[in-house]
Amino acid sequence: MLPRKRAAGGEADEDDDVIVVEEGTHTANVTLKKPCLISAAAASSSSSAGLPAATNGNATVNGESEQSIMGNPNGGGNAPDIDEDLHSRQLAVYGRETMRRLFASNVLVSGLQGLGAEIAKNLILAGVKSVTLHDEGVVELWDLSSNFMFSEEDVGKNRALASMQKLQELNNSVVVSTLTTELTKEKLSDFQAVVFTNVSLDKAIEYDEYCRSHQPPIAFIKSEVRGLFGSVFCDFGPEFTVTDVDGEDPHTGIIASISNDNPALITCVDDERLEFQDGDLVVFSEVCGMTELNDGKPRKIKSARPYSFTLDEDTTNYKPYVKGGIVTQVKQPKVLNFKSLREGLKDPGDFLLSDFSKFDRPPLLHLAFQALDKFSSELGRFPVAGSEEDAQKLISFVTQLNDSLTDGKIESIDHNLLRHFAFGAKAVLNPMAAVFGGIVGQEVIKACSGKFHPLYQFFYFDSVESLPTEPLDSSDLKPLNGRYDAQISVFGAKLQKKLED
Amino acid sequence: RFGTVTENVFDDNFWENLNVVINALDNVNARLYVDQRCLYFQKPLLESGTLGPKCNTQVVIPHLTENYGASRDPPEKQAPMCTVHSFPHNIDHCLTWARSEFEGLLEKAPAEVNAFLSSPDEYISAMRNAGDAQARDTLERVLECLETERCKTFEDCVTWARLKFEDYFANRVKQLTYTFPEDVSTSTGAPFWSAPKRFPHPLQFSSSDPSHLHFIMAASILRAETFGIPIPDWSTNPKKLAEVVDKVVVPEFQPKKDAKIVTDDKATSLSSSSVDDAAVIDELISKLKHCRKTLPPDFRMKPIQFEKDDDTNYHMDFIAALANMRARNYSIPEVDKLKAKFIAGRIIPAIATSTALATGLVCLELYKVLDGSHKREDYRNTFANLALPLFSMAEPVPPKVFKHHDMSWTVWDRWVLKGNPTLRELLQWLEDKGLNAYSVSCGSSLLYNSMFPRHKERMDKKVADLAREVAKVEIPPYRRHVDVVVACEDDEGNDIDIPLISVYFR
Repeated sequence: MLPRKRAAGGEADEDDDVIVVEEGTHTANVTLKKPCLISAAAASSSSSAGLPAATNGNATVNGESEQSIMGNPNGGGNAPDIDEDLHSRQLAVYGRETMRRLFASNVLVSGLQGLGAEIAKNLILAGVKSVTLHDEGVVELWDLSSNFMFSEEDVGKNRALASMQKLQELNNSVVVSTLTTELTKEKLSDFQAVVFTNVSLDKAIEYDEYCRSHQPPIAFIKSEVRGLFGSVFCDFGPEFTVTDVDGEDPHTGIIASISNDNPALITCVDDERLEFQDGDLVVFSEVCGMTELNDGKPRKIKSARPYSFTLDEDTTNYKPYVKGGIVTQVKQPKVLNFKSLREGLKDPGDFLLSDFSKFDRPPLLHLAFQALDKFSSELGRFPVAGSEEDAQKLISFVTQLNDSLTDGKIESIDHNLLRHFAFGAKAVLNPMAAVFGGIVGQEVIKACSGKFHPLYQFFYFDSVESLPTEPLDSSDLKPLNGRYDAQISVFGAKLQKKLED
Repeated sequence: RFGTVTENVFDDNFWENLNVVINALDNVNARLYVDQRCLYFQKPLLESGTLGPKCNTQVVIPHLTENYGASRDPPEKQAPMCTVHSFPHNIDHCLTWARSEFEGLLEKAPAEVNAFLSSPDEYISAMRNAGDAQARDTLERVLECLETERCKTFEDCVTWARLKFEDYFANRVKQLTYTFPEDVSTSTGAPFWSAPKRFPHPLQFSSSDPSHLHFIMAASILRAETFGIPIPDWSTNPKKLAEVVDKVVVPEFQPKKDAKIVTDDKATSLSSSSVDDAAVIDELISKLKHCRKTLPPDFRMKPIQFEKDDDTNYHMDFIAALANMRARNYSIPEVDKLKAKFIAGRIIPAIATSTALATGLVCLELYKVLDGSHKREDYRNTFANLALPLFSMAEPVPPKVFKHHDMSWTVWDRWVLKGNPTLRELLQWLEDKGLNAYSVSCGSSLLYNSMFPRHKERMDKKVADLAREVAKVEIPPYRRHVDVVVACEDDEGNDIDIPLISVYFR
C-alpha cells in the first residue's frame, strides 16, 4: 500500500528488493551512496557500458539498456520513473514534471574542447535521455588546459571519442554516443536541443535556420570561450513557451480585510511582507463574507505594496468582508519570440549584462566575435598570442564591421581590449569553460523543459581583470610545448610559474 | 570536521603555510570559523555558495576588502513555539511540529529510558536536583515507555499508534477548542481566532481512510523498532492492519476545564511550572524504581535517529503522516512525501550548473590573488541566478575603518609592542594613546580584568609569561610573540574595538 520504491509500471509482482550492481565493468554513478534499483529484466540484458565505442564515423549508441535502470523494463518509449533518492537535490529545484521532460530529451553537443566537455558533463549529471558528442577534430596538447577528461595519451585521438568514456561514467542512465564525421542538417532532427561550441558563423546560421523552421522547432545554442572572453546565443524558435518563469512557489498572502470599493483594497496580516507585483494574477479562497471572490477566477493586481494591494475589481456591491481568506498568485506561462541568428547578428536587441561597470562592452564583443570568425575563415587559423600583426588585423575587421553599422555604431573602439581578445583567442581556459558550461547547460535544460526564463538572446562576458597587473611581453606568451600552453598564451609564463610554486 | 575542536590538526603551522584559502563548505558556522582563521593569519579567502540555480562568490583580501563575517545575512525566521504547538497556519509549521514529535517520541524518550536504566541512581538525583517542570515532563515520558504505554508485541505498538492518533488529532484539538471556542474574544475584545490563526477540527479515525492507516503503519513500525519488537509481514498489509487497529479500545475524552495552553508568541517553553513539581517528581521516581524491578536487567530501548534519505525506513512516512493529519485538522493543504522530505529534511537544492558557474568564477578570481598586486577594483564579487537569468558583479567593499584620536585601523591590522613588556607596561602604552584598557585575554583565557582585585598581583609579570602560565598557550620555538585581545574604553567611557596586539618577547 505504501508507494513501492520505483515500482516499474505498477507491476505488483516485481521483485522489489534493491539489487546492487555487481558487474565490475561500470559503477552506476560515481558519487552514489545508495544502491540503484535495477529491474530484473535489465540486470540480465544490460551490456557492460564501459565498452569503447566501435566506430568509424557512425553514431554509436552505448549502454542503451541503461534506460531500464530508471525502473522501466520496457527500455525507452514511455516516461521512466524518477529515482527520487538519487536525484533528490535536483528534484528539489526542478520538480517531477521538469525532470520527466529532461529524461525524454536528446541533446547534441558539437565541439569537445573545454566548453563542450563542461556542457556535456552538466547535461549528463542532470540526466537527459541522451547526449551525442560531435567533433571532427583531434586532441591537441592545448586541449589539456580545459577539457578535464583528456590526458597526454589522448593526444591525436578524436576529441569526441576521447571524451566519451569518462562522460558516460558520470551517469549510466544517459545514453552517450559520438559522431565523428560531418554533421548534416538532417541529423539535427534527432534532437530537442543542439549546442555548437566551435563552428563557423556561416555554418551556424545554416543550422539555426534549419532548427527554427523544423516542426517542432529545435532549440539552438551557440557559445564560445576564447581566452578570457565568452559568448552565448540562444534561439529556441519563433514561439517558445516558458511554463515556469522563475521556479519560485506561487506567492501567497493571509487576508486581514477587503474593502467594498473600486478598485478594491485588500490588506493582509503584517506577519510577513507580500511578494506580489503589479500585474500579477491572483485567486482567492476561504474568504468569509465577501464570498463572491472565492470563485477561483484569476484577478489582476493593480498596485502592490508591502502589506496590501489594490485589485482590478469593483467590489462596491459585494457582500461585506467578515474574516478569513487566502490570496494566491497564479503564475502565468510566457511566450517568447526568438530572433534567428542571422537577424540577431545584425540587430542583437538588449544584451544581458553581467557587470554594470562594463555596460559598453557587449556591443564591442558582439563585433569582436564576428571579426574572429572572419579572421579564422580567411586565414585558416586563430591569431597567434603576442602577434601585433594578427591583433591589428583583427582590429581592422572590427572597425570594418562597425563602420558598416547604421544604428548602434560604437563611437570609440577599445584597441587594447581587442589586443587581449586576439592574443587569447586560441586558448580555451578551464575556468571560463566552467562558467559558460554552467550557463549553457542551464539554457539547454530550459529549452527541453520550459522551466526558468531563457537567455534572450545574447550574453557576453570577459574577465580581463584576471590578467597579471604587469603588461605582458609577447615572448612571455610563447608556448613551451606543454599542457599549460593555452594558459601561458593568455597569462604568460611568469604567472604559470607562480602557480606551480 | 573543521573548527576549534580540530585545531590540533589544523594548527598554526598549517595555516601559516597557505597562500590562499578556497571554501567549499556547506554551512555558515564553518565559514565564519574559516573567516576568523584567515583574519588572524592574514590569508586571502575565496568564498562561494549555491542554492539551486542561484550562486554567489566573494573575495576576501587582507587589508584590501572587508572580511566574510563583516556582513551577515539576517537570521532565518523561526515560527514562535505556540504557533508550532497550537496555532499552525501553513505546512511548514506542521512539518516543524512533526519533526519535533518524531524526535521526542522515537529518539529522546528511548534515550532517557536507557540513561535511567543504565545508571538509575545518578539519573534520579539529577532529576531531583533539577526539580523543574521539564524534569517532571521527562520522567512522565520515561514512565510511559516503561509502564503505562510499554509495548511487548507488535499489536501493542498498533494500539499505541491508534491512541497517539486519537491524542494528537482528536483529543488535543477538542481540548483547544474547548478552552478557546470559535467565537471567544481576547482581553482586548478582538476575536481570538482571527487571522492568521486557523480554527481546527478534530479528525474521526477510520481504518478505511488510507492516510489514517498510513499513519498507523509508520507509527507502529517505528515504535516496534524502539522496543526491539520484530515487524511482522502483515504490518504492511492494509486489510490485516485495519482489522487489528479496529480492535483497539479507545477511551472517551473529556476536555479539562483548567488546561494550560501557551498563547504567548515569545514563550520559549511549553512546560508550565507548578508548585507541586517536586512532589510529583518524587512520586514519579518511586514508580520508576518499582518499574525497574519488574524488567529484565539488560532491557534497553533503541533510540532512532532521523535519516531522511533512506526511502525504506518509514521515517519520512511517519513525519509526512504526522504533518498531513495535523494539516487536515487545520484545513491546511497537505503535501506529498517528497515535498515533506524537502522541507522537513531541510534539503538544500543543488544542481551542477550553478555549481560549475561558481567554481569557474572563483578560479577567475584566483588568478588575481596569485598575481598578488591587483587593486581592490580589479576583483569581483558575483551574485547570479541562472533561472532568470541574472548576473550581478561588483567590486568588493573595503574594510571598515576605525578611528581614535590620530590613529586609524581596520580589522586586518595588528598593533605591535616589543621589548617583552609587563602587563603594567602594556596598559600604560595603551593609556598613552588615550585608551583605558580594562580587560586582557589570550586565546580563551582571561589574563587580566580591572574588576578582580587578585589580578593586581599580575601587573608586574611579563605578558608572555602570563600567556604561558594562565592561558596555557603553547608557543612554538620559532614564534617570537603572543597575541592578546584587549578591551578598552575611551575617556568618555565608550568601548573601542582595537586591533589584536602582538606582544613580542624576543
